[in-house]
Amino acid sequence: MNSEKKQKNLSDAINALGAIFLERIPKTMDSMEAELHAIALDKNNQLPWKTLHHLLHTMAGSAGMFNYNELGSRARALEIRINTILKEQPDSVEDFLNDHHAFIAWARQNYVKTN
Amino acid sequence: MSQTLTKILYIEDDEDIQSVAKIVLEVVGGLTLRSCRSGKEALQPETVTFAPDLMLLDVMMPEMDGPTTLTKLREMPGLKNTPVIFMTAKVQTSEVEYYKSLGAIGVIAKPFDPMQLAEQVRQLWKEHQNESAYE
Repeated sequence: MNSEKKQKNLSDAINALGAIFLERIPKTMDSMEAELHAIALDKNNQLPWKTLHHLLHTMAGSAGMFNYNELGSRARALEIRINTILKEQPDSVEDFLNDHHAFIAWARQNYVKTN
Repeated sequence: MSQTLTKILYIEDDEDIQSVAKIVLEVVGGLTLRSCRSGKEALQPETVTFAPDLMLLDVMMPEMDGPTTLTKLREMPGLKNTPVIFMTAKVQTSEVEYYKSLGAIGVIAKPFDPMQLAEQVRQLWKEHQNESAYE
């Protein structure tokens, strides 16, 4: 198999994985919303913060890898804000929750196919 | 005498990233991977049998992060001096120096370009081999 065909096959394989990533976005957003709800009920509970942090971290890495750069950078920004909050440095939790809900709405609008 | 890079122990908890990295490192890079989804999995005896030439570790993983995993891997037979590359979103200079102080031969930033990953790994390996030749 020549080099060009190999690269094409590789690119096709990565694109296929990227398509699967996109298909999972609605479920990921659902998971994020569940954690936001838990945080709203008890802002001092560390577990949903950590779960949400991991979801955002994973999304940032995968989105960037598949060239969904804006999705990745927005997820990364929210991930960094959680770091700040978990270190008990000033960052309004309410502002964070509102911004995260806005991110979810934006992601659903821009990255989820509607039939 | 320089060593050929053929086998990589790859530890990454994210399924998407691991899938892509496996494809590019195995298909493009021609390398043989032992892929693990966690530090705990990497610490299984199969890793010793596999005898990697290089370890490629994600930094931020739940339960056991990359640096902690590396500390424990170093205690396994044959892995004390195995070169390691970290993969992380945190690649500011101070953080890179920190990972190098842990013995890393380099740091690859995430998100990475899948089409460049194999070359990045080989380049860091080559630089490490060249430095080792002068020691």
